Amino acid sequence: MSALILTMILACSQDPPAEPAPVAETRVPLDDVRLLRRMSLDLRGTLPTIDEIEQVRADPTALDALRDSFLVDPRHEERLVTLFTELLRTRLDEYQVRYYDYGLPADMECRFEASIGEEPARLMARVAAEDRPWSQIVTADWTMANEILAGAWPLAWEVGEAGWRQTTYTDGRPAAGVLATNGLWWRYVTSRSNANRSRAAAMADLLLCMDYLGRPVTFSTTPSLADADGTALALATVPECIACHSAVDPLASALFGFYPTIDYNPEELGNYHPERESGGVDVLGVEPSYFGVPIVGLGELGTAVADDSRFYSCTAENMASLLWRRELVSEDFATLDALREALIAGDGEAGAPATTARLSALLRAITDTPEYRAGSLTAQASDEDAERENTARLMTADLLRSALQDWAAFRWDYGGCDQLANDDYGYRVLLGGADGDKVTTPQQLPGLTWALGLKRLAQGVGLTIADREIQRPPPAHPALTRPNQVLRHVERQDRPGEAAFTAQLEELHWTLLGQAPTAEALAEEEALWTQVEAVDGPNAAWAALLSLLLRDPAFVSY
Amino acid sequence: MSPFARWRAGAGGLALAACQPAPSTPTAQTPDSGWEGGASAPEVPATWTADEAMATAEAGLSLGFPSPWTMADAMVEWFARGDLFCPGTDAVMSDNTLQGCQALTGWYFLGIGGQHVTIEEDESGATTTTAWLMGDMEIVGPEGETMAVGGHWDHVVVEADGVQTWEADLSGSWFAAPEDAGWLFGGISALLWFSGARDAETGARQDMLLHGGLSMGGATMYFDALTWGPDCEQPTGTLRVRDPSGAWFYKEYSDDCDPCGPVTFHGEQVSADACLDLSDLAASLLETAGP
Repeated sequence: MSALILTMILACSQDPPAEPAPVAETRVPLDDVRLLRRMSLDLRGTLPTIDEIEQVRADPTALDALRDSFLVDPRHEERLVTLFTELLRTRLDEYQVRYYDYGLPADMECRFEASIGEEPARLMARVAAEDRPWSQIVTADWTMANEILAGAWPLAWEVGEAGWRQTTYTDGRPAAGVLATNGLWWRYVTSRSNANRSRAAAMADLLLCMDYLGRPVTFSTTPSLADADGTALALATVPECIACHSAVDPLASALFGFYPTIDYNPEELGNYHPERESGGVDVLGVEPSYFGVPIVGLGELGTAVADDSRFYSCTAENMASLLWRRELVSEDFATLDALREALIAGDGEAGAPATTARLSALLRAITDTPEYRAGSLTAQASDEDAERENTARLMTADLLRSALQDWAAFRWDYGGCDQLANDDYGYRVLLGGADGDKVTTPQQLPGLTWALGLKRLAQGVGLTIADREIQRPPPAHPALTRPNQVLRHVERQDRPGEAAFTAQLEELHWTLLGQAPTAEALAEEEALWTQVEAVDGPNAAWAALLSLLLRDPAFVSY
Repeated sequence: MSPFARWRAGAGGLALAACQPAPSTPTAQTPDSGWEGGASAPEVPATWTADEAMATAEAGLSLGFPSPWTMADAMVEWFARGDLFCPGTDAVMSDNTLQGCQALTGWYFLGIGGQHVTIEEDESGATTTTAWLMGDMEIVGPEGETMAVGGHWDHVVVEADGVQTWEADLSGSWFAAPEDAGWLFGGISALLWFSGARDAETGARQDMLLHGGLSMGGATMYFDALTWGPDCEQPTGTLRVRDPSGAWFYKEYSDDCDPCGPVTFHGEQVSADACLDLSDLAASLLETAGP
């Protein structure tokens, strides 16, 4: 408590903090094409096209316009889904209710699970992609669903509709954006005795960046926490408990329409229960309130979040951390202030943040920061700088999946499962991804399983492309190119030294690595191709060469 | 408070809030108020009139109070539609594979469920009947008959000195079809507590309490400490009925034993004299006292 009081006194008595002293610039920006590549991967999950690369090579100022085009690219929304599932940690491989509880066959397991976890992320992504006020993620009266969710949950859905689309729940739940989605609360479960407290803590963490579970608490031995009565007494009398529960419990009380009376049950978990909205008073003994301000239920909880300045600060923090790919430190405060203001300024119109804030403005601001654009550090950088900064990101499962699918129409499926998006049967975590539960942030440094997974993936991609484009005869008419054709300059008979072969290699370097090949690299690759071709023919030679490039450090970093 | 929490709270967090006039209503107990207020959701007007709300509640309650004893009987009956191994016995439905079983009779059983009733008598002759039932299950018949349960019921009845007292809670989602499943047919969702006392010999009510939420027959209701005494068929307390807009009508029952009275919505009186007779509810609730 004394530290708390000291904090308050300091906050009251001190002048506003002075502007930070100028420091030596320690970051070296990425070159233009590599920055284009980073932006393309971050904002739409794909490699830049050769045309886009050429534009930037010819005119580096084209970069900003291309970045803006990425923000309205249809793939931007899909990329945001991935980022938001990482943020919300909702893409689990298993929820309390399983696919068979809804009579779905086993080959729907992965799609069922992915659909659940993506629901709240898709709502957020739709708000962002359509440049709606960011507050709608907690106030929207709609959600996103596909035919799988529509078959399981009470959602408005026309027979025969398929694919993700905007729709509404039909069970009377209030308008509260992600706070009214099953997907969020299936990830953050509760129990009868927990009474939504864990969900309230998750809400505070995800939307306000208030990590109650991370707060240090010293538990006294009396009263005993070993039984329900002792716990209830502690919550009412022990200051360490009250400190958090005085805020968390009233938030939990606002979530009682989602209070399940039994776990693992599709009826209880799939439906909103409006008759339980007042149950928080009965079970927790407190009326719903938002940090001391009385609210009526879930709908007003969403509105309260939308009106809370911390919601916008937290969004700026979360997105900066996601795109800088590092944890934030106190040295970032000034930049985060500016980012929050960019988010709030949003559409440029006057008004409250709840109406003006736009995620696109924040993404523009983040991708303009030196932190984002850094490609390396100068010699003046301290050890602390080197420890803090992340000048190269690692391509992990999510990005590999989207980039390779876009570039080469490659998709690694097994039994209805995307092998780069699950861990029950696939390689998501092994390839550096997050599962939302045990692994909550993607890997940032190469590791052994990552290298092994990447090797297998690169081989698979190489063989797939070679089989598709070298093994098989070219299209009957020159105007008929195959979709996602990668080897568009060469045919089966082309050999190293020929212009078409060299043009193909150069294009692969630019497209995959974002850089020009050196003469030495070209020579090595031609030599590799020649050796493999001598043993196994051109099909295997191209597969080997592609596999090599996909394991190049310049490909797997961005 | 971490440095980041302080940064986040810059405009309205604890440190600064302590130095400035408090926002609208937070109290000294407010731990982390950052709410600036201002863009609150507009109050959505009611979809129904007060009379329509009461009529909706009346229609829902016309199905009778959802007696757990009915549920217990139904469960025994439905379990018996299986065979020797599936689902188990007529008291317990087990599911070792978690993926259900198909009985030779053509009935499919998924999940777990069970019930038991124990009766104990002490030296004074007082008896305590403890009933328990739970289900996390779905049963589907060859003709599409369905029972889906996710909930439980606890019930204790003590009979001593000529008085039978009981306490129970009923919660979860309960549904059965076809139509002859009674109140189960429409399905209910509940988080309810009820208790009471009656004369063990005559069955005359002494007092009775109903508290909690119930969705049934198209009505979503919250019984806020509805309490019946021995002499009046109308309770005291508040009945809330949820409007399709999501807000609630409040119908107060005072101690004048009148089923008619004022109704409020968003804190404003919307009817001075709306009526909803709860005598049938009282009667069916009394029937839940014991098996």
